Amino acid sequence: MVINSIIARAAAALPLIGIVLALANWNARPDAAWAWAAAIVMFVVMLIARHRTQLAFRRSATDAQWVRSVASVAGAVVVGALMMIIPLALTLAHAYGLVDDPDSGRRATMIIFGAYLAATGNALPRMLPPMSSMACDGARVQAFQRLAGWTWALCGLGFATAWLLLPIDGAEVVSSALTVAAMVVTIVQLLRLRKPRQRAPGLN
Amino acid sequence: MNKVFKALSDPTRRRVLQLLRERPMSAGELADHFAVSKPTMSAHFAVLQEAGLIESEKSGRTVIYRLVMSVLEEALLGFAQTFGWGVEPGSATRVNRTKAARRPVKGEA
Repeated sequence: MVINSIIARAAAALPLIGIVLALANWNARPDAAWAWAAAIVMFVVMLIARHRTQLAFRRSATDAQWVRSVASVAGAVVVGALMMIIPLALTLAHAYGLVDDPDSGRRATMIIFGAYLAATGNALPRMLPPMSSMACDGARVQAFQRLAGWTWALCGLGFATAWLLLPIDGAEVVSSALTVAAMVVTIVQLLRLRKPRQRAPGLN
Repeated sequence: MNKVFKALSDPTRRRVLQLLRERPMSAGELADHFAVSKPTMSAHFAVLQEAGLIESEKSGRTVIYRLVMSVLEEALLGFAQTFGWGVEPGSATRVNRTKAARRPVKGEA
């Protein structure tokens, strides 16, 4: 509950901080105005999405599914805003000579993206649909979600580590290869799920 | 997280999780793999459910249990298996046994 409250506050504050950072970057580097304008538009979209979800939630506040939906929208806004705020802050710091590496913003974005992939992969095996609604048997769905979870968690960790430790060129190659490999594994497993349903023994 | 560590500290509960890795199973099917009383098994299922490692779904008169472990929790289970965390099988405390004996057997028709 406390975490949800922190996430809700962060979802309200972070896009505003992002807009301020984008404006500061615009002021420091007017040559890339289109990029800062795009960033501002994305932060505004985040604010609107959060605001509309809150409005809808107030109308049906008792519904547990709505509570989960609002929490997931707030979580997505926080992750999305952080993925943009950290590089914006590093780019601004570089513009004012506080950071030497011109690629630090890109590196930070990729590390956060890798961490996001790992966190999503970690949670994937828990997101099982109700057994009664499954089109194929529970054992196969469970096996698929476990494999997909491990695949994306390891891919995310490898992705983040590559962008943390390797030179930019190497990190690009390694992270792309990891992502493609994870996608292939997931798609192959997904296709295997399409075989006709076989009931596991002991299940009604 | 404390509940997860508590749940993983018992070898019987770890074995239940390993069995559920293969496929969802009914309470009776799971209990058949262990030489302990059904109330004790119910207590183990309750601990695992409280830790959010398994969930149950009613199907007719049977309760089906299935795994809902995150990747991190599964890695912790692997560590627990490798390094043999917690108590030996069958050494449940008297308090646990008494609590378990009071509960009805869940999922048994």
